[in-house]
Amino acid sequence: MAGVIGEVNRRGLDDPSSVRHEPLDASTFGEYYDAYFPRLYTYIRYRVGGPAVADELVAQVFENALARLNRYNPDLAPAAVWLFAIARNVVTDHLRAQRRHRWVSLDVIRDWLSPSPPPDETIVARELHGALLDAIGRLTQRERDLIGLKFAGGHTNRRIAALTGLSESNVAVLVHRALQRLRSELARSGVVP
Amino acid sequence: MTGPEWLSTKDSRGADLFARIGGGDPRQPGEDAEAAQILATILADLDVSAESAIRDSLRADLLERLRSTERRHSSTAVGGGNPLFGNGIALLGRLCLIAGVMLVGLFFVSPARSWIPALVGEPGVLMATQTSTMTPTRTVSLTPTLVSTASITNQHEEFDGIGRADLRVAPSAPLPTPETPGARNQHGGSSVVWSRESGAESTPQVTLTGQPGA
Repeated sequence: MAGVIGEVNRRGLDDPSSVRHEPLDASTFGEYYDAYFPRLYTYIRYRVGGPAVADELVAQVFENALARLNRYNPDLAPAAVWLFAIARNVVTDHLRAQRRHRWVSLDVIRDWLSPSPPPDETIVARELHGALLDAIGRLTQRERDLIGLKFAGGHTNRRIAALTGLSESNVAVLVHRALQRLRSELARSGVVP
Repeated sequence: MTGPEWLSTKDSRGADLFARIGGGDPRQPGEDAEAAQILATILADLDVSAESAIRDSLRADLLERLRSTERRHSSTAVGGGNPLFGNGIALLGRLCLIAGVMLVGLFFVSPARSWIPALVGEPGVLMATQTSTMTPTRTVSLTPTLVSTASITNQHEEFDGIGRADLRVAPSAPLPTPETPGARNQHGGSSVVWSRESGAESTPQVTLTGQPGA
């Protein structure tokens, strides 16, 4: 179980090779941005509703990282762990604020203003991925967090354990259960048989 | 899912994989593991960051802010420190240090430093000052006069006769030396034996010895 998922994890989602040996500082910030933006954005997209909110939060993550850049110590944690720790805090703050105030997401308007319909060849794939994101959205926040860290973030179970405070073995079990639930949600929505 | 461009070619592979997720029997451990692996593969390949409408503009904005911060840092640099607030904090710290050293130096160099013995517990200086102000101003009789009321009563049987009182005497009076029971004064039936203390000519201390029933 954990071995299978770990194998997937190692399949190219470790630290991007372009910045692996460069310390994160002002001179390499742009490279880190390019390398980590997709992972952070996808992670946040797993955690929150739509693209507009994800845009807002990922911007907040990088702004916080920039503001604290002088305090970042690579000896304490790799850049990936540091950035994802900031992302988790930003998402947590957002969810907490969302519980206090009900906001209408700009994504609703964005869907209304959707330009021309997409080409036929992408429709099926879009629907599948839309269904996948919807299914992820029906998981608990902890399951979304773990799936995001594991697959969008590409972190090992050990790093996830360090980020979340869970034990390494517990992370493996919870990720596996989250995948099972995701599969059930996909089956319920009719995406998979 | 705003535009088709965020779906890369690997997503079509994901579509094939989707069809295989539900293919097995979830009650079979092998099938379950395979489905989990396929789902994990799909999730690991999924990159929705192309949805973002601000990716490039955010990058440009952040790098511009970084550059402007560095420019500001280089124009006000006082040596190392952090690029945002380090210079100000370092400067403030140095100023506080210099001010503290000057203040402490001023305290020790200043002539009005009588607070120092009071602080370190040397009462001798203050006592000497007090003694010098107690010079007698008028002539009195040779006979010592009890001027203060000692808290002594000799009406009680249990009185053991030890107390203290102040006597005012003339400075030229030949005071008896200590342990000389030469001068006696009668006060309420008690005999007063007084002695002269060193360094306090005008205010000798007197030991009252009571005699119960006297």
